[in-house]
Amino acid sequence: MTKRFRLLTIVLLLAVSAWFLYPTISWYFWTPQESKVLAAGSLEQIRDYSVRQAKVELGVLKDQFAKSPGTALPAGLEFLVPIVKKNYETANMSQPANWTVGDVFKAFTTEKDFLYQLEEHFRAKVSAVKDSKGKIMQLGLDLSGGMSVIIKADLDALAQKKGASLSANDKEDAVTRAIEVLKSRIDTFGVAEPIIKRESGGDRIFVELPGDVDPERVNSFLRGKGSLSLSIVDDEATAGVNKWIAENPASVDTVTNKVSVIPPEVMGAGLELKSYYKRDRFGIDQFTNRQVVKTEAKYVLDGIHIKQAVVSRDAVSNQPTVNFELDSEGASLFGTMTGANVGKTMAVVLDDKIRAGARISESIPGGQVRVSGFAAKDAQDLALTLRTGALPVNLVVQSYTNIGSSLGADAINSGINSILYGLLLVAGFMLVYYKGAGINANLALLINMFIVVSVLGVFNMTLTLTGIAGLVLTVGITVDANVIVFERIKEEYWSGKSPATSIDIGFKRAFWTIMDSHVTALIAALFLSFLSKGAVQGFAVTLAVGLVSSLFTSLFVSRLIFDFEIDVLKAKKVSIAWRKA
Amino acid sequence: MLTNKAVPFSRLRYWMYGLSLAMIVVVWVGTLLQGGFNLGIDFKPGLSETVQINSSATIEKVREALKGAEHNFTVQPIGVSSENRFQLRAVAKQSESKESNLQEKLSVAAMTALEKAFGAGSVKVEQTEFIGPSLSGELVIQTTWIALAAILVILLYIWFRFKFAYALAAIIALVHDPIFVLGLIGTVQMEVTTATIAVVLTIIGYSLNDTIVVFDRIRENIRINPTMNMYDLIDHAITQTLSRTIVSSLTVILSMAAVYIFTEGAIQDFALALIIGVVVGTYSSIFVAAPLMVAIAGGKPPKEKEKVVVTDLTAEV
Repeated sequence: MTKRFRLLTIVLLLAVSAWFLYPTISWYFWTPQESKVLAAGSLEQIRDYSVRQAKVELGVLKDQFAKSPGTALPAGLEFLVPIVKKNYETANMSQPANWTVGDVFKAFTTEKDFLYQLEEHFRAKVSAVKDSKGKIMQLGLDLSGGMSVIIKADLDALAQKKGASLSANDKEDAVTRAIEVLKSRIDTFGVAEPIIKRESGGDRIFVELPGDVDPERVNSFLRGKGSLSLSIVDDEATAGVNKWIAENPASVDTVTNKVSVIPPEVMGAGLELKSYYKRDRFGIDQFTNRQVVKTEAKYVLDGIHIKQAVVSRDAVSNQPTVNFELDSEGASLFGTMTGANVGKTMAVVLDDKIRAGARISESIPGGQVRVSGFAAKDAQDLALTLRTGALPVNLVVQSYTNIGSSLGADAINSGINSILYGLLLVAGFMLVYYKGAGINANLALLINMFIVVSVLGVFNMTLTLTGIAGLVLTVGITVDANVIVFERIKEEYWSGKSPATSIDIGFKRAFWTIMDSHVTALIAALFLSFLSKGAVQGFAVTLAVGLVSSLFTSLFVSRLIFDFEIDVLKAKKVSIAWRKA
Repeated sequence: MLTNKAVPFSRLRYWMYGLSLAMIVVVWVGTLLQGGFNLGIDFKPGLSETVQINSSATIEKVREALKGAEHNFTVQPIGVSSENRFQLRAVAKQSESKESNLQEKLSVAAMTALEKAFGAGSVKVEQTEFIGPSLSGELVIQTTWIALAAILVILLYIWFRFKFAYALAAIIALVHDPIFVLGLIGTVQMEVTTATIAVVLTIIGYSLNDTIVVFDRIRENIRINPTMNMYDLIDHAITQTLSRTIVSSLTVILSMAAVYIFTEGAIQDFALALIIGVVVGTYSSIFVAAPLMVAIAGGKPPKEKEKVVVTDLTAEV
């Protein structure tokens, strides 16, 4: 490997690390506290914020428009320009060179359109902060506090329901799917980056929610039992009931949108009124209409029969389709049900709300179902609903533990500061003891820390107190690797060899020592990372990443710096000790 | 080849074996006399209480006030600082953990101490929760099994890279250190928390690293001078690596000393335990691992299975 190539590798790696590290740094240092709070808020909070901000912004613009429509568009609103330009193009209007407040107002026919664009802007801003949270190094429960919940999947009840003992595969599948359901539910609650882990091979699930968590909100997603079904819609009854509701508007509760008792002559037996909700751009359910579904067993397929649901594209039309697969029992039920109801609508009902509807064009035997006629986003939503709506197994909460951070915020700050002082002391010591070579060691250490933190960030790992211990050990081992090399170089140099030869032999002799010590530590770290619980795992993962990175920096980076001194700076001596050679 | 003078470390080996055994026995007897480990909040049930204080309370003042209380409280501010809201956490003592009115007892202890400092009626309890342990004995058992499996693989690796005698001696030194440090933690009744697990793991990692470096030099010296007396040979190896050993230990101690000086509570304990662990780890590599390896190998160089080619390292590449 040529030295130029090695330099290139290092520069490239540093650039990648910097790219990975950017979100973490930006989150902890440049993101205002209110944005963080907002991003951790519920979908409703985000919507309210967007709507409120948009109104304020519009108010300010209106004032300006009333006073002097000729003023330039205020800073911070440049995002409007492309939208306005597009509207001008559509309306075939000539575009000004400099956009004024008046010009912008001309682009929107109604105030609602204008508000919509402003709301979208603020929504996108919060979403961006929310997304960036998935790419940063998080603080663990012990550092930031939060809630830890242990959930047990009730496999015995599942076996009873099935009437047969479960195979290992069944159990595995049930728990895995339960975790997927939990994940999707917690995500929709906007809880900041939950940690969901399962007991390896067991039936327990550990959920850790860092930050300030309202226990009530957590309860609602853990305890809510997902019931998912595919039901046939009674079109005639739907029309009749909607007509009755229109004639009796007093029967509708203005807050909950629920309809009080409907006379039996309007709604026949074996029928049930359900509301159809669509998700708006904030991800919040919006009431769309009401439909009547049949509740008799032959018109309903329980969601538990759905094995898999994915989104794909139609080979001919390229339209998104939702494909789902039923188990054998579900397949025969579904075949009969669709065969008897060709031309009718089938509704996807989740927790009493209709989520989607599709017209049945023919009988569908075999259990492979394809539904089309959606926008891509809706198709994704439906597939997710089908996959995660029904909990395959009952979940029982075993324990709730409200955990404040084990250390106060001030203790953590002083802890982090003291670690920095410690690092500075070490760096100072290396400089004094090894003179010029100390610079190599410190640079290697700095690069090592940089790589480790960026890797922890990109995998969205959480930094716990034990993780910090892992970092401390990483620093120790990295410094040690450099010391091993330096001591060897010193020995060779003092025995009268030339600088270049001393460095070369020093690195060669130290190579296996460093390799062996790193590999043994790495074996320990990898084993410990199998532990499912955070405390030890945090240590192991941090250490494992640190060890690999330390191998690279001590053998590769430090070597290159020495070579640079010899080849480029034409050093005649090795600056590595106070004693003269 | 091995001309430089060696410090006769191995001459002290029997004294050191004795010292190690004696120390381990002493700290473990100490732990037993203390009635076992002082388990922290992670392992024991305790109280979590949110209070609001109607006077100029700062976190420092609240901590100060609770220092007088019978139990060890941790305090964290909650929400906006002007609201003077704090979360208090306390752990039951070992003797109390089975008592039924524990929650009330802890709560009253906190109230008494706070009202004494801030005046009666100024403290409002907003929320009281009795929390279970976040770490279970299960985790400790699981960790132990995984640690044993890891030790086995490390043994195989060192056996493969070195010889069996090295592997066995390394494992003994590796087990020696955490046993000693754990005993010490029990004797001085340092609180056992998640941080303790981290300390023990760090010490194992560090000690292993140290041992490997010394062994590597021993192996190299055997290749250079296969006929030398083994105890003299390891003395040379230890002496040759001594400056590295001191510098490396010193850097870790230096950084942990900074942490020890500038922090308090759990992090301070962590730093202290780590400093002790590094000293013990260094000691065990020199005085336990190396001479033990020779003893296991029967005083002869551990048998080389294959012929080792000593490459001419002076050649330019």
